[in-house]
Amino acid sequence: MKTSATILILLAVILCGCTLGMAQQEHDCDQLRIKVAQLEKIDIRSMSPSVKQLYKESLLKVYGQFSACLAKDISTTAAMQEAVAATSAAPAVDEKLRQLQREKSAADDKILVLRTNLGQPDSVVTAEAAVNQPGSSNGPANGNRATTAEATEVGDRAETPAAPTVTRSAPTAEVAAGVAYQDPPSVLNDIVQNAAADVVKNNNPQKSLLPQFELLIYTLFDAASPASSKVVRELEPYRYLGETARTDKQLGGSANSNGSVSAIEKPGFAQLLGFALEHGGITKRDDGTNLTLSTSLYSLYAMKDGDTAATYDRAGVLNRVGISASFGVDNKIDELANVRRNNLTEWSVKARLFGDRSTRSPGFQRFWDTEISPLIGARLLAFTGPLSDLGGEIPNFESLRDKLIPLPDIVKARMDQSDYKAPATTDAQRQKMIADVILGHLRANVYDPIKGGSFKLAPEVVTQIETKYLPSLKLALDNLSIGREILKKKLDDLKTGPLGTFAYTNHRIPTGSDYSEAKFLFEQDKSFFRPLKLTGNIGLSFYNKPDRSLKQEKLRDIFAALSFEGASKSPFTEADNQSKITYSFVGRYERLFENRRMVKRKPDIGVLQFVADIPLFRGLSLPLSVTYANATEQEKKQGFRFNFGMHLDTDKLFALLKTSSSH
Amino acid sequence: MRRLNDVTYDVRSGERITIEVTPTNFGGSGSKVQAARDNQLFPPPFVFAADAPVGQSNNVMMEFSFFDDNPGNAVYVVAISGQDDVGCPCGFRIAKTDNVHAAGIRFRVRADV
Repeated sequence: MKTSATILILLAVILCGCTLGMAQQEHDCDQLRIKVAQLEKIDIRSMSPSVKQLYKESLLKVYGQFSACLAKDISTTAAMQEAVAATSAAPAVDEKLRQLQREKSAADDKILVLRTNLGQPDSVVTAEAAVNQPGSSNGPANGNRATTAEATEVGDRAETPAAPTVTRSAPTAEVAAGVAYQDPPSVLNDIVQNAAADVVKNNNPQKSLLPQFELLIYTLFDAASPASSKVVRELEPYRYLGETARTDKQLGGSANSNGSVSAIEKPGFAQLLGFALEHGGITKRDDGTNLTLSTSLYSLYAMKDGDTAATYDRAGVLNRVGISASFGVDNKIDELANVRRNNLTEWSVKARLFGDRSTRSPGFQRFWDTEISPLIGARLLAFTGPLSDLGGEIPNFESLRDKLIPLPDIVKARMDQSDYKAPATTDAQRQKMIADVILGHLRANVYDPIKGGSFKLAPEVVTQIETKYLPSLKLALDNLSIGREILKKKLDDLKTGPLGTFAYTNHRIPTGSDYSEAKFLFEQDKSFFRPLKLTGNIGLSFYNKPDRSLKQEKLRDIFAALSFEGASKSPFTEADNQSKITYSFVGRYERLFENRRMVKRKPDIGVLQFVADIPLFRGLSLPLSVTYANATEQEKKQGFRFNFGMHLDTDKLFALLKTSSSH
Repeated sequence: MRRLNDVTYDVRSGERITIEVTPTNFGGSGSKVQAARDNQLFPPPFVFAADAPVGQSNNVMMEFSFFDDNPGNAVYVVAISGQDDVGCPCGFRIAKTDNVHAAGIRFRVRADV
């Protein structure tokens, strides 16, 4: 639509709106409804800033008149409802009343959004106020208001929040425009910052209200009395229990594959399920020499019905089996071009025999239910209990709570503003904008009314807050701190239990004979050698088609390997990165039968190895190994071999970036 | 039940409310949800009849736990339903990558729903 045409339509609607305003006594909500719809249909994208401002102001006025008109209709219809009660006319009147209430609620929401966008200084926003003060309410933005001072422009029509279509029952709470909440309690600020970060990350304003109980209770306690404010300001921000740090994972090819720096293979399996699912069923790892694709039968099974607890239970033995394939890398540009039969170097199947280090194991689930759940429950009760009690004790407490209902709409309005949407704006800046809106809303609608006395808390309620609710909350948080330590120890123990895995690997040798390997992998952390972790491999390999000219028999070799692994803190990582330097001493013995009958070869091959992985920063690590062997499979030549490289763990990098951003 | 936003609903007195939590993409790793309703713990299944007096609210708060071994895309899908629902499907999602892992859900008991 061209600008001139838009202006003409806008002026026509405004004139009609003014006429209706003057003729408000006629009380025709139907016509106002049509005018609102006409205005809402106008495309404002091509408008100049001054016309856009006029548009917003006009829309606000018409909505104000519409809301006032609806209020009168509601009043009339409510009277009618009383009159027709228990008659056949009652259902139709009831339905009409509900419809009007919904419409008014939606109109009031729209008014609130518009006023936030216009940065209007009036403290109380109601439909009636907008009608009663049409002239004064359209003044310039109040620069003193931190949360709305930047609210100078409504976004494009396509991106502005439509008048909510969800139903909302009357009466709508009067909602004050936000004011700066200077120096909020750290426990409140923390949850607000987290909610704001989630709003930005998910582009979802509803995330602002997810912690509504914490937002309300912390603000209420801050305002209730100097004593309660002091206590709430001493509370430490809550950290959810459960997550600590990423642990070991080995998803690469087997120890024998080219490019592998370790002479021993870990039985670690539990995470394979998770990582496979995380990456769309198949995980990919490229160490520069080999590209390894891994998956589990469970992740393939879960593709049909989704990975839920029910699916996992149904999967049975499938959740114990993992498969992987390694391909030689000769195309460094297009990684997946290497996935073809000619490049296949090995494929393997692993099955977990015993041991379960996952948090889904029955032992861990029992521990959680008995030791941790009650602690979390106590914290939850410290919020729901007071809300339930106060709802019954303070007559207008629910009205105070209602003031949080439009918060997502207000946040959405902030997200529609040009400075929020500007490409140059960083997520950290956006988070601050949203956090300011949430804090400002809490300050204006909860803190100030209580502190200023317009919302009265009886002395006995204040006493209850000081002597019952706050001590319960503090006790719950203190107990959770103790629980966190117990959980940490339990998770450490979980990672150190015995684990046994059977592995079958088929090696593809382009210039020799393919062979298969069957081995038993064992790991035990809580052993005699603690703090070193014990890992053992034992197995044999056999040729699929022995080449007699190369002295090969069906049985290729037997082997055993033992590793002692330790870990220590890394001085190179960031504070949030709990990755440790890991080191291991590995001994491996192999008897290769065909070498018995070949000159210049040794049948008994021994290897001693030192392997280390040094985490540096941002998921980057330096794996290295020093190996001494008395011979290799191909020649009777003893010597040392050094391997080192660089490895970037993108999962860890993501986790660190997330932690940094949440701080 | 009538939706006001993701975590606020108007319900009738005595209306049966169901909060269904589906842990998704957890693979072989654990999931745990703890809940409280008003002055008592609220064990699964999360089903209750709105029993607050008209004009007051039933308050349900839930904490969704995540563990180190959960995949990065693990998420709890929360579906909330009552009777004659308006504005639904209702509920929300809590992802491992989110910062807030708890939610307060308010059910306003009203006569005009």
